[in-house]
Amino acid sequence: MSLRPSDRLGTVVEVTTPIQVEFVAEEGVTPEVGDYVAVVHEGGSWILGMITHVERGSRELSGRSLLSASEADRIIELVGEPRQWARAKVKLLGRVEEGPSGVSLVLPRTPPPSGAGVYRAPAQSLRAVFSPDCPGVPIGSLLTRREVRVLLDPNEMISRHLAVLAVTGAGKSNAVAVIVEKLLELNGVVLLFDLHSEYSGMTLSPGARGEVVTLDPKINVNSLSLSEFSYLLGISYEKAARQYIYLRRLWRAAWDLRGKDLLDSVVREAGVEDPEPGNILDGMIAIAQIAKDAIESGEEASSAVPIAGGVSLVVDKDAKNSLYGLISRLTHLKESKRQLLSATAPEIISTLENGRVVVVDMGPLGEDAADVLVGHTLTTLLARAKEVISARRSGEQPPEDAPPLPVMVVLEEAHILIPNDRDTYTRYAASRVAREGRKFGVGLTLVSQRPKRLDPDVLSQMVNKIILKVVEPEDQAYVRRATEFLSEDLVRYLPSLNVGEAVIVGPMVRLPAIVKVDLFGGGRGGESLRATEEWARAASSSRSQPSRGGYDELVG
Amino acid sequence: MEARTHIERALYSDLEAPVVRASWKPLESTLSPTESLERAGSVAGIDGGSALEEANLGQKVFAVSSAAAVFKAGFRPEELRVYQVGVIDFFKAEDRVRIYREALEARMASYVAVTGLADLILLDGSIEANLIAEPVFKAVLPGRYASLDEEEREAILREFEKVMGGIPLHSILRVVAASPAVQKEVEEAAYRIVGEADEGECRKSLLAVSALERLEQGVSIMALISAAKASGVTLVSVAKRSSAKSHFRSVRPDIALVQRFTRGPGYTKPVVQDVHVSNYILRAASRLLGNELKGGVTLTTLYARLAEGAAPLRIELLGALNESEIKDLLETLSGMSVWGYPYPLRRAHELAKIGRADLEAGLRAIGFLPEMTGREALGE
Repeated sequence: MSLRPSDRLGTVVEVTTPIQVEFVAEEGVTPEVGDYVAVVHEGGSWILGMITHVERGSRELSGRSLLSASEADRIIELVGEPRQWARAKVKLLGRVEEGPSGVSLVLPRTPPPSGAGVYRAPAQSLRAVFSPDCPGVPIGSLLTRREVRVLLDPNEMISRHLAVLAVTGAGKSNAVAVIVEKLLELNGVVLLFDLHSEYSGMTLSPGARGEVVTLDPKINVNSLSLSEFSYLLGISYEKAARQYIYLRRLWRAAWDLRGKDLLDSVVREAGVEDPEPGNILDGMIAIAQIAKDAIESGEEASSAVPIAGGVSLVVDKDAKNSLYGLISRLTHLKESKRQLLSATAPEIISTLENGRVVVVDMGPLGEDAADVLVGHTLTTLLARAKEVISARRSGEQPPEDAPPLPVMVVLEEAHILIPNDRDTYTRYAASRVAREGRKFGVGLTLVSQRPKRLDPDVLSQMVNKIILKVVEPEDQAYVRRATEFLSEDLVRYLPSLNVGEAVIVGPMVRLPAIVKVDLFGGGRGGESLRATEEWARAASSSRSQPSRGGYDELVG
Repeated sequence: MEARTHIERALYSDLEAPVVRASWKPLESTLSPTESLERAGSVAGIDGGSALEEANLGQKVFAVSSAAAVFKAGFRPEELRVYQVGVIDFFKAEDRVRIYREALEARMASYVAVTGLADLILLDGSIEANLIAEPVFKAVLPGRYASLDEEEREAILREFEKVMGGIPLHSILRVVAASPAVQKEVEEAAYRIVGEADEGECRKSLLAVSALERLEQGVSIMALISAAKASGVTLVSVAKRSSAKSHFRSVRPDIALVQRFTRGPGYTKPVVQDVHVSNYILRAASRLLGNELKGGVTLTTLYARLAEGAAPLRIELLGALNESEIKDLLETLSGMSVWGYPYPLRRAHELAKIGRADLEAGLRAIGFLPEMTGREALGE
């Protein structure tokens, strides 16, 4: 592709390396950070590069001794408009080569020569790189070249995970909504954990293909594993072995009773408050209560307390204290997680479908309940995905209720549930998905405004990143450390990005790109309240009501 | 303790305060930069720059420059630059290169005066210092080697005229620098003056070369003065630093006293003096310019602070100016000053600046590869 003389930006000056050059700009040209340039190399070829830093100055207003505006104004009065100069750094990305498998970039082995011409990269070449002719997720346009659309590779996005990082109000949720909608158009499957009800009333853009399903945050209590129960109850084998052993016995006994259709009658008999039919948690409370009563009344003649239908609970002589403790913890769990745990709730995973985004509105939940919900769902999803893939590999039919794969799981406010300074269930589950999800078709997208609070191991596995405005220096440094594609120069510009402008790096784009993200055409339903409008509305409604006014109103 | 007292007295005593304050007059200038340019017509700031780089064992490459920034109200400044590059021996290289630079600055100012580019020419430094300079090698090891006698000076003048024959005035150093053949000619001229060089006479040949260089610089400044007088240009030199003590006749430099004992914009009572110029320079300049130059050069000298809080400057004006002319000129300079320094000079300084890196890059650009300097063994 030939370079046009009118696109010339400047001339390379010393010293050059195979990965970076600097150039001085032509008179009247001001290079833009993030723009793509073509640096002429030997043999008439050129190398694609990105401008990562620009300095500008004037010949007349230079010098450290210039200390006040009035001095500068006097100089301008004497010389007229100052003559500008500009100098830019370019990170070299490679020579664009088109082969049978598409466009590839090959880094040169030798630096470009000093004195080489620098041109605006041809739009056609940029399109070949950023808008390849294959299914993709159009996220926006290059910030400096609006005519070049940027497509994200959904395969890489899901298999190498994604982090969307920015301060509040920089456009994270919009970017997520754009991606989700485009994935649905590709018949993709998305599960979105919405911690602050930002997507609770989400609607897609007019004419967009796909479906939005919003779920209340519920876990089917009967789908919880023993280890999940132990986590919820705060009981570990290492710290409270006896209680853990009794918990296991209760859990097994409850399932035995449920298998024999005796669970509900036992729950009734034990007088468990607010019982729910078939609820394993109720059953465990009931069994523990019955066993405790038997021990207290001295009925147990043997080491097994009979419950019902031949199901018994093995106890020893010190069982009473353990059972007391367990009843207390199980009852507290039931009461505190009443909103979350239900024996009739559909399994979240069972609602996943191609072309659908399932939004789990976790706004009403506290952080610990949200932790259980997300951790449980991720763990279950990964386990089910493993079953599906394993069945596929062995040529067997996957289970009928198998989740559709691949699936992208989006977690908003990820720093709350995957913190760097304490263990959470979600952190454990997310780290497993981050490590293993690639093989089993489970992709993770973490959205956060405080990257430095995120678990570094998990974040480092989010190989793709969409980074919008990041102001806090520690967050910037953290993002830099966790992102191999992000140069120091680009990090410096993160605070100056405008709303909706993002640096995108990772294998889902062939090259790092600074992008103006499209505006989501649908509604998210959870946008921030506009204070002035709300107050004005309140004022107009209060005016319509009679009021005594003044001090009387305050004192009643 | 005695030494400390002595230093404190030299630096901080107030002995001269009454004399300096009595000499000081406040300067009230309300001219804007545009008004001051309109009053002055066109103003040129002239400055020079130089750089030296080790090139070889015992030799250095030098570059000198001179720049003119010409300002006229309502127009973009015109900027002129000229460079010389050459090779010089290590010994006294800095001083000799300074002589080259001063000569080039004088020639740039002459060009501006002759071509009518400016009505007011501002030189960086001191006209007086340029006029009274002596050859660099005059004081080399005094007493051990003979200095040039009068006969030898005459011989230098004759050789200078020979070398200059057919070459325009503003060019001997440039030609010397550019052409090995002419450089050889100059060196041979030096040998002709001092005879066949033996051990002791070798130093004399350096003296002869140095005298030729000084002659070039002296003739250049005389040519400038002649051109300024002929074209009616006002010639002013402005020095930021000075060790002159002739104004207040103290042990401390005049400029230090003004800095210490005066406040605000103002200026000292001007002193008019005739500066003596060496005969051999006068004669060479007379012959080359075709005018009979006699006697000294009249300069009006004063110290001025052009803005509140700024450092004082030593200002020399060509000719004997009256009080009103001086006041007008200082008001004009103040109006076009930034932080108390005339901006045309500042701009010329920026234009003329040659960094060592510039020189290195320039040499590389023309394919010059430095040879061994002898300091590689030290890892440098």
